[in-house]
This record gives sequence, C-alpha cells and structure tokens, in this order.
Amino acid sequence: MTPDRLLDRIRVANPVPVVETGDADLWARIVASPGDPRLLAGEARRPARRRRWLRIGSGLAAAALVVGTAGATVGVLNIGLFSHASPRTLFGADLQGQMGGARWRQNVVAGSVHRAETLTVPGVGKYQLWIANSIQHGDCEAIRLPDGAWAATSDDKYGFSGPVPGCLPWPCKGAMSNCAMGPGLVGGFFYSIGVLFVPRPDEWRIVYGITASRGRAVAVRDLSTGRTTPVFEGHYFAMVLPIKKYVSPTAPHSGYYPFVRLEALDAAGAVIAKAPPDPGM
Amino acid sequence: MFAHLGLITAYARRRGARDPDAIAAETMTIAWRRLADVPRDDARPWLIATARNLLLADRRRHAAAQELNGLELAAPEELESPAVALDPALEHALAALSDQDREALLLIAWEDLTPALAAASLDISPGAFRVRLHRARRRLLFELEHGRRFDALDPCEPSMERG
Repeated sequence: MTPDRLLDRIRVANPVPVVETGDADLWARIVASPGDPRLLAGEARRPARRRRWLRIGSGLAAAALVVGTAGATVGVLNIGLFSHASPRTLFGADLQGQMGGARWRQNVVAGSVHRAETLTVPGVGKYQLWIANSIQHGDCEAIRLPDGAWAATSDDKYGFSGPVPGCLPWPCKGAMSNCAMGPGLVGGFFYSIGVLFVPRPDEWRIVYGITASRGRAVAVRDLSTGRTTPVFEGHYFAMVLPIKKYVSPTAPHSGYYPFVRLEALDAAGAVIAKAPPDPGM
Repeated sequence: MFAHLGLITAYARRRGARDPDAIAAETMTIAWRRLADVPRDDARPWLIATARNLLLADRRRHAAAQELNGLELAAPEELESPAVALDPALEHALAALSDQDREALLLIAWEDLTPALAAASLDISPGAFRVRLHRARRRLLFELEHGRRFDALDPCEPSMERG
C-alpha cells in the first residue's frame, strides 16, 4: 500500500463528516460579548463603489461595522468574516441591521432561509439569490457569487458591487399603507442592483428584489433592455441585464450607462407598478 | 471564521470530545475575543489549535476529577486515539501510533489541511511537520501490514521538531 493510498484509506474511514452548520443563536451570543479591543479602531473601509448601493443606510456602508448593543460599542465586526458563512449564519448576523441601528435590527426565521433563484451571467458564471424572512416581517436577501463567496463581503475578480447581504425591515409588507418606518416601496418596487464591472466591455447588472402593488404581478420588465422575468414566491424577482454603455463618438470619455426602468405586469400584461428610472451605478 | 463552525465541531467529535458542540462554541468565542490573532487568509489552523487546547484542558479537568474520586488517571498531554468507531484494523493501527504522529496524519486526512496549514496548527515548522507526517505514514503502514507496533525507530532519521 503506497502512502497516498494509505491516506485515502484514512480519509474514507472518516467517522464524522463536516456538516455545514450555522447557529444564529450562538453567533448572537458571541457578538454580544466584548470583541477584540485591538480591532476597535483599525478597520479599512470598503471601496466607494460598493457603498453606493447601500441605499438604505445613507453612508453607513463600511467594511468595519461597530456592533452596538443598547447604544454601547462593544466590538468591531468585519464583514469579510462572513464571506463564506452558511446562509443561516449570514442572515443571522444581520449585517444590514447592524449598520442601520436598532430600528433596523432583524432576526431571521431560520427555517425560511433558502435559495430562491440561480442567475447565469454569460461568460462569468452562476449567481444565486438566497432569501429569508425575519420575525419582524422583514426580508433578507443575499447574492452568492460563482466562487461561493457572498457578494459585497469580499473582493471578487468580477467586482460585483451589490449591497451588503442581510435583512431589512419592510413594514409595507404587513400594511401597504405604512411605509414610513423603513425602506418602503417606491413605485411598487423595492430592489437592489449589483453591477459586474468586468469583464469589459460587456458589463452586467443583477437586479433583484420585491414588487408589490394592488394587483398581482406575474412578471417584471426592464424597459431599457426589454428583458422580462417572472415573479416568484409571490413578489420576488431577479434578472440579469446587460449594460450597453453609450459612448459619444465625439466625446469618448463622456459615456453613460442606461437607467434601469422596471415595471410590473399582471397576468393580462397590464402594467400595475412602475419604478422611477434608476441610474443603477 | 464562523463558516468553520462545522469543521471545528467535527474535529472535536473525531477527537473524542465529550461535548463537541461546546468545544466548538468556546473556540468561536475565543476567536471573537482574539480576532486580531486569527489569520485572515485561513483561520482553520488557528481554530483547530484552539480547539485542541480546549480538548486537552477538558481532559485534564476530567482526569483530575476522576483522581479526586479515587481513580488514578494520568492527565493527558496529547490527544488520545480517536474515540469514534473505525474499521478495527485501522483503529488498532492508529492507536499504535504516538499521539503526535496520529494527529499529523489525521489533520491531513480528516481535517483536510495542507501540510503547511497542519504545521501551523501544531506550531511547528513545515519541514518538521513533513518529517513527522512521513514517519507517521511509515509507522501506520507497518502497523496495518504487520498488525503490531512499530517500536524500532530508525536511528538515522533526523529530528527536525522544535521543542
């Protein structure tokens, strides 16, 4: 028996396979305790382009998250620690809530965490949309990159510029007329845009989120590209949109990107919701 | 870091921890409190080393408690052979190895670490680890083929281990 076959024999005999596990309660208990004091002051910020899409936080997007408990700073949380966390751990950490302050905090319903959609970006790979509900009736969303890392938790070679994954309060979900407390619907939509800055010259957007209106939406269409995608699980949608950058022949550095122009369609094809044009960059 | 919770739980279970989940939770808590010390590129060696120390401390406490109860047990300084069910021949052969050799083999075979990461986990140099791994393989092979302990050490084998 050669040494390699010997190791293989031991590997095969492994009595306890590793099971990917996430324990939101454990995580919550740990981060509620004081963190490493040496890290309180020394984290680098994320690149600016990643911050742009933290539209809910008004400049709160940073790689270093100060974890506050009852107003007291107890430690620093590095988003990068979650780049390969299990989906339950990721949502359980409530990264968005920790950035937004106490009123944004959400507790994920562990049993609701699931992969909702897989999106193929030509020439790049497959991106997964994971979603969940929170006990506060909020929504949790995260994009998993082709290499298995979570979008916006670490740098990836395609420069995905999506929002930090996590859960958001959504009071409109329970009462459509009450959107004052959180990131409510705008034009019947609440969505995020992630941009893949490479490979150039073809760039791509991944647009995903929620549509809700008085009618029942069955599809979402982007008027800029003409692409349509079905609505799933009642109100979610996710689509890959090519970006055709417009460049003026006389001013090659003055190019701009087309806006995202979403509208929701009902089963009869009627437009029942229309989001305002979004520059999406 | 928290992505490795399953790995650490499995490690503790394979090494016979009485409460693997508690060992894993304590490991993660220590990592949180000493986050600046946890390597950012790959936390596994650090986490495994921490879990190993916790396992040893737990066993020392357990042995001390047994001693107080009138049982004379030596407090372990190394992890014992796996307290999990294996095929009998392999279990016997692994049990015949020294604790250090067995741990070197299992870090590669079960924890799936590279030699460099396993060396970091044991706080020895990569060269020393390769020597240890090579020795462990030869001894395990001998045990499997002959069914008895390989007591005759090679006097010519250089020792590169620290400490």
